Amino acid sequence: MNRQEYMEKLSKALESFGSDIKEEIVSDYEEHFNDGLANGKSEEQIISELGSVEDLVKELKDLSNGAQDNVDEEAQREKFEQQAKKTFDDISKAFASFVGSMAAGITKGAGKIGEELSGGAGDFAKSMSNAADVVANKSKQFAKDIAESYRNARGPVETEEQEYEGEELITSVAFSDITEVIAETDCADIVVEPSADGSVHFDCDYDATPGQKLGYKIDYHCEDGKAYAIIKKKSATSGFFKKLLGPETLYVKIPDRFERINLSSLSGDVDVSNVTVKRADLKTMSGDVVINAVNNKDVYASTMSGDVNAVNLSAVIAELKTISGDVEFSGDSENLSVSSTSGDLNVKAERTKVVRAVSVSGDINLELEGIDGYNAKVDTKSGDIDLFFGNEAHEDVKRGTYTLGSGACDITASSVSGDIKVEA
Amino acid sequence: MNAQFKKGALELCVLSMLTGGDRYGYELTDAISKEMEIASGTLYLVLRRLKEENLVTTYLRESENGPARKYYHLTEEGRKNQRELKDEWLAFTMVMSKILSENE
Repeated sequence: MNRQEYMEKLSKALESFGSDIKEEIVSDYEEHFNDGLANGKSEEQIISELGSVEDLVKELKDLSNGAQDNVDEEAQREKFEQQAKKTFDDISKAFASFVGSMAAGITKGAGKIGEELSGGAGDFAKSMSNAADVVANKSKQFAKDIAESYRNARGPVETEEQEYEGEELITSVAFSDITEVIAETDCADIVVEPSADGSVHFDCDYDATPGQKLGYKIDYHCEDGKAYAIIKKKSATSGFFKKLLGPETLYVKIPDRFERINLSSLSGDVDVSNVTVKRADLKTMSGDVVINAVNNKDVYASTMSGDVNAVNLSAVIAELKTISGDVEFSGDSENLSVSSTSGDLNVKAERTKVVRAVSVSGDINLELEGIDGYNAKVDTKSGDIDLFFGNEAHEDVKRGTYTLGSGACDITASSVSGDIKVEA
Repeated sequence: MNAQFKKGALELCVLSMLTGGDRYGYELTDAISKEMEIASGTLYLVLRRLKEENLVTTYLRESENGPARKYYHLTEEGRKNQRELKDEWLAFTMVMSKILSENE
């Protein structure tokens, strides 16, 4: 088959899809042929790349399934409108005949006025009641037809919306006497802020069309002093198949000196600021973890592809992990552990007793304050190692264990290809 | 391959390729066919659909040789959609790898 034959076949096969679609695809294909030929391809090669006309037609049907639904809906609406119009016409006709017979009755009555007055009146009344019956029956049928057509045309949508309304009601709640918060989201960011009234508050802005909200659930509940907020798609992968839109952010407000927060998001960020919590577990797959001015006993933060950024964090134990992002820490922590596979680790810490820093290809920078010395076990395959403490300096040293000052702070730092620098 | 799944994947491919700048049909389809076994015709259908959904717009621009080419441009909405689909795709592949590796 050559270009001309192929294009003729295409043109013919697309006939049934309407001239807009046909013309657009034909012109796309013509352009593709021109570019392909200009790139030194043969007509046969281009034809095989484009694929068979039969396959295209099949895919055009498959790929436009969604659009096809719209067409069906359109057709149904049209059918409904036609039915409504027909019923309306019937009613009009019945009404016309009612008026007609009324007029006939009057004429008849008037013609025989005097001698047959009662008879004329009787006829008039009879024809009127006949016509009224016709109208009444037609009206009933009309109402029935409308209800049925409406159900046919709108039925499934109506059910879904009802179902959805039940869930949409709550985007904001408050729970009291709570010691622990568990929040899970897929796309939404999680933001934790202090609460002003001692209660736990969950709140999310939800700005989307009913259709986009259909696949989402917002579940807030509490049990045994724990408050749960779960914002997720009903099915993890439904977004491929249907356009869905979830809330962008879940706001969590917690009282001061809170026991525990356990937050996880798939692709959203986790952002905690200005709170005091005994234990915080913060997880995200592809988002960032941001901690600002937080007082913790223990904090565990991890992300796969995002950064972990902790500023003014005060924690007894702090464990900050990422795979491909960077870790930044500033604050104080007795026992600090930071790790990243390919990112850098930057730490500015006060009063630390134990620091563990592990990276594969990133650099490690530790600036430690308020300590009177450290014992560093350092290792890198191809990076440089520089260690400073006051006036003491060990520059460009090999892997090994070095004691500076009192050696009180226990440091372990290892990287494969990154540099390691410790300053105190 | 499931038609809907394929549609999602190809839409994400095309949208992602447009994040770096406007491209014309042959450029897009040629680059994608080099990576995967896919009829270019299918990609034109995907492009048509993206245009219908206002995720891309098109315009004609003269080419050095031959008639004008149709260029595809990513809209703001398309850009947003690309990010969302990408996140979904990454989450999906992570979940898949997890399940596959756990059940080897």
